[in-house]
Amino acid sequence: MADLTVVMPQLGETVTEGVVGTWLKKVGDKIEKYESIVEVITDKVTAEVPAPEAGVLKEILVQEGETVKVNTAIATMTSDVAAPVGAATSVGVAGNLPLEAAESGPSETLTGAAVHVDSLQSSNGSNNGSSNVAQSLSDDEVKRLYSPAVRRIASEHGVDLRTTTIMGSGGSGRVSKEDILAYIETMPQGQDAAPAAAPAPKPAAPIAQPQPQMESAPHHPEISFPMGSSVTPPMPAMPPTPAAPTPASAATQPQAQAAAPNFGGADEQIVPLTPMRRAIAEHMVRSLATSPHAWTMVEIDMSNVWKLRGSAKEQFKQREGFDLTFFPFFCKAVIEALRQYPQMNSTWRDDQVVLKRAINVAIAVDIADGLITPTIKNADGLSVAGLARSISDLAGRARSNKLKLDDIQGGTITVNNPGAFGSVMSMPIINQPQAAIITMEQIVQRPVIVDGMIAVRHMMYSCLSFDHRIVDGGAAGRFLQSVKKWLEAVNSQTSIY
Amino acid sequence: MAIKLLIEAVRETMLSLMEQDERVIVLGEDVGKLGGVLRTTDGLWKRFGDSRVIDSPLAESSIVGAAVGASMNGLLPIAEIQFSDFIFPAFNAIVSEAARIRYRSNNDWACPIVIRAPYGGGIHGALYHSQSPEAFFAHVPGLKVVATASPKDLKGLLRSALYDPDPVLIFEHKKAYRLIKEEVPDDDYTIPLGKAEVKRAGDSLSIITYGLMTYHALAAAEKLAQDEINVEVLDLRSLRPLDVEAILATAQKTGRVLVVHEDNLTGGIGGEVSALIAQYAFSYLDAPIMRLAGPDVPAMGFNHVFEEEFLVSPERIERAARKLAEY
Amino acid sequence: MASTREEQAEAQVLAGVQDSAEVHPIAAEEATAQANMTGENGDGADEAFQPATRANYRDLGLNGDQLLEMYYYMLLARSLDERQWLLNRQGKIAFVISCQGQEAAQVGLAYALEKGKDFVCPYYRDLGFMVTLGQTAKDVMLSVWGRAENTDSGGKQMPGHFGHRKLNVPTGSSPIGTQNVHAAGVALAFKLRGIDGVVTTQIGEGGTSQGDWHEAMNFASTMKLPMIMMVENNKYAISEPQDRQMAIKNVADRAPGYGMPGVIVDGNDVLDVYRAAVEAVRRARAGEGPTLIEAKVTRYTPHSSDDDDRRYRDRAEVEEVKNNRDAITIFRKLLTDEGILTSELDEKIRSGIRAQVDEATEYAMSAPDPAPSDLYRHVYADQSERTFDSQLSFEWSGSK
Repeated sequence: MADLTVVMPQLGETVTEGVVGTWLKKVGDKIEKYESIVEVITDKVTAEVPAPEAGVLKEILVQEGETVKVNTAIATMTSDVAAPVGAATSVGVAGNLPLEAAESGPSETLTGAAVHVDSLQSSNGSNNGSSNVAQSLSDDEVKRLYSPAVRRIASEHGVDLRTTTIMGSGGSGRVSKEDILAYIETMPQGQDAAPAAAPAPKPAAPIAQPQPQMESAPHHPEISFPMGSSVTPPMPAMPPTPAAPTPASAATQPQAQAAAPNFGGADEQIVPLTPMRRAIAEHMVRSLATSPHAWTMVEIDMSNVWKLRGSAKEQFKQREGFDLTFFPFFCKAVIEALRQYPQMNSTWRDDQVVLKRAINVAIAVDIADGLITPTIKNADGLSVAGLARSISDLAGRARSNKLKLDDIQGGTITVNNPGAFGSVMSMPIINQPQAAIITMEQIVQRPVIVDGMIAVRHMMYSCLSFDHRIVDGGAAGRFLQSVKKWLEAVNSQTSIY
Repeated sequence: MAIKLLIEAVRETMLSLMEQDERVIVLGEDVGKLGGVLRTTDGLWKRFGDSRVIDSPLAESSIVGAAVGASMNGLLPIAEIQFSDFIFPAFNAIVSEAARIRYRSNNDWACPIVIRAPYGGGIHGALYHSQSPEAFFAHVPGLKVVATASPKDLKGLLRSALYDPDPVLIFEHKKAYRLIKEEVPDDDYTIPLGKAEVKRAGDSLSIITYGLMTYHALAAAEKLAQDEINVEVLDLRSLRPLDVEAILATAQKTGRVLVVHEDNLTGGIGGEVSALIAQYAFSYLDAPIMRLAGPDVPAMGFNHVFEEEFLVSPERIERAARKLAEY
Repeated sequence: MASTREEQAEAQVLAGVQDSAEVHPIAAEEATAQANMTGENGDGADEAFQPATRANYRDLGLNGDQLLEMYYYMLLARSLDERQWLLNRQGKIAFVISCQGQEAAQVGLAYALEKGKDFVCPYYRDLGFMVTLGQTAKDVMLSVWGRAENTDSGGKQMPGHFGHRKLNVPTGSSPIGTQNVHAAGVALAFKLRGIDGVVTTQIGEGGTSQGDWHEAMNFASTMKLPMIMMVENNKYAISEPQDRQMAIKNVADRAPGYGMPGVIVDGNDVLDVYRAAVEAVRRARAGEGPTLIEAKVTRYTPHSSDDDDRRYRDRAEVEEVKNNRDAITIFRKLLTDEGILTSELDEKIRSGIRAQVDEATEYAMSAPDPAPSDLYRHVYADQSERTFDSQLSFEWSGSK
């Protein structure tokens, strides 16, 4: 019997450390191979770490809530298998169903803390060592099963149980009918607010973890679970604009329901943080602390784009099945500008400016709990239509929790669209480790002077925050001008394909 | 309005029915001069004599069979089976014959009989004076089955049963005969067959039950109310047909259902009630449907130890309800 | 439910109107039997079988027309029965259970009843009873195919499960002996209501082993009820001979044990049966209580179309009776001897019956079956039951 070490995995690029979330096994528990042992949280990803081999959990080295660097040992286990493999490094994303484990590789499915079917069955097996006849479920499993009444009430009130945290006061931390009803009464109004949990859990509820629910929704399309656990597909934080609501790509809808705060007469109501909220918070602070942000903007006449889009949209919709928005045009302009100004497509690393060959445009998508920035890889190879398709696909998958880890890694610049929510100007925060972030604000009709005459044109501001270590105002400004020029040069001959 | 014991309600209702309708006869063992071994027919023979209150031979099959025949020749017989434990010799007569008269004759003949029998335990009656056989009959299309311990309900149900054009079995809880007292309206009234009644409204948890268990459930509900578990008690009264609307309504209201009956658990009415709720009120359930019933042993034994171990009690109901409430 | 045509046919026949007709194959067979017949009834092999008495019909208060009526009913029952076997062996009907050989016992008792007042709780062989009481050939054939229009059950029951409210025949079933306790109840109602009606109930000798038979006998005699219990002893309960059912020679020997008279009659002699029946009916109406009549008969056919009687008895046993002591043949001889029946009249009657049976067969063969939705009706008085497909819903639809 060998001793194996389980280490803090590196989940996502640039991640240097992680927080130990919930221990899913206790010392002495039998563990099956690939069974999840612990949840870890990084600012990119929250995931479950699978056991490398079958065995018994021997020692827990890092307690819940503690932060350690990647590759630090967090536990040991005894195993019959000699292989001294630590936990997967870049993979680490557990919650893989046996089907996916077979294809294992870096591009594991993202929602790492998905319900692990294998673990459910095997934990049943390991608990009782016998048949597949319904065994009693572990507390965690019970928490993930919503009763029909809870599901019905949730659906009647538009609460997405896959992505919402609800405190359970029933046996084993079950969410009961009363719990969901209480939650509905306390649902926050604003999109920024994390879904409020029910008021303080009754002492009877045996919830040990700091965060009530770490598990994320089951994502695998072939597995249907009774409404999976609540909350938090692990997403990297997107720098939101301070003033505006979270940016989103076109045709995105906010998912979290707003509800009035429930002070019950007190002065304050504490809203527990979801892991995503926490991750976003950390990222924002770090980004501002890392990059000296400078800001500039430009005004763009979008009238030609307006016309072109207007003439193309019907046919586009018929052909592609979704709407053609202004966003892909803007992205195209940004990409063309990046070709001319490659220093905008770079990163500061170890006192060096590192230019990136690939242009991977990250777009901000608003989701239930916050936001996420999936990436269009090699966007410079795509036409406006191609970009539109990519955007539609990524946004859809983001909202339905189907992004892969690969989708959120490798962005070289981020494009925001706060204009969708009416913003005309915003000051975005750079998405580390990129050099810049550019916004597309609202297109409004304004009177402008053209050739000495007053004309009504479709005008739009575009704002740019950039890392002043890498780029100066001149280059940034010229980059913006390039974006402007491309958009204003659009005419009826411009092909979107 | 007067306070009546169940036994008084039985007797007095039969008396008034016989007074009002000369077609009504009572037939069974010892129902005549003795007035019934449990005094259910006390006074009837004195009043109506041999031509209406008939001491039959000791043969349950022919008590029911003759009642069937008589009902096809102009009479409205009430057949009494002395203890429901002894109904089995008449099983063929009830299930193969009475239940099918209308169906097999394509509505040419009908069989409007009433069969009454005392059921249930708690009177040291042991294996053959304590049984609850209602489930056997609630299974049979063509029969109607009623079970109650309530004087007020019995009065209305018996009248409805007598005038029901199809065969009706009435199971009266024998312990309740002298245990349950209620206010019973003086006038004649009917309670429709197939209608349950909410005996106590509540919103946290439903107890669906019948017979003496209704009273046990009400007692348990009082205790549970002190802990803010507000129990709704639905008294089925009719076991066939079941009041499905009422069953579903209470399940929808509370989302937590405990079905209680004294009869053995497996194959008892509780299974049917649970299946109906699971199929038709699924999205209202906040917890699994629970049953609490007599254990699966042939019956309660003579020694009080056996009786106590067998019987569902208010304390046991309370315990089960708490468990369900905490789920 | 007699049709006008059928009533007319019967009337024509009984009025002796001449008609042209073909010779029916059965007539030829019976002619042979007649030729073989001895002058008197031969004794059966059974030692306890009492010699039949040729009752004087005049002493019984019967006239020629009434005798012809009895003859007609026996023939009609026989013809309908034979037709059913034909159809069954052709594969056209599923099931036959016969009265052949027992018609005289049935007609003899039924004819003693007062139609419209008295009740009959028959058993499955009692086709002779049913036609005497007034069930039409058409209705009988409708039951054979289980058609919707049949009075007995509208297709719900097998043939031989009689029930006819207008004829005062309570609906019967398959469990043996249940009709006997029903009859006891019917009789009880007569008594309690002060009506001088009578109920007869029939059963085979095997059925007298059943508890319900004993309960009915006991009930009726203890309460002195107006019931006649006829046991049609054809010596076999499906395959089991009488000595597998009882330790005694005659069912009638039990009667004193119940405190009622037991009478043995020659089931092949319709007048012998009638004589006993009249007395039993008189007793009953007078409040003197029940009577047991045991009719010794022979079952010509297997138990039913699903039975093969060659496995347990010799065909010769049946042939002997058929050839020498057939009730219809005997009666025909009597009627002929008495000058009540001529061969032309006989032919008239037979062709009339043939026509009725043909017409009934044609009618029933193409009569409509019940609808699937009829399955759900009449479980209770006021509602239909939920359909099979209602199980597929997650919404409660209630009963209609």
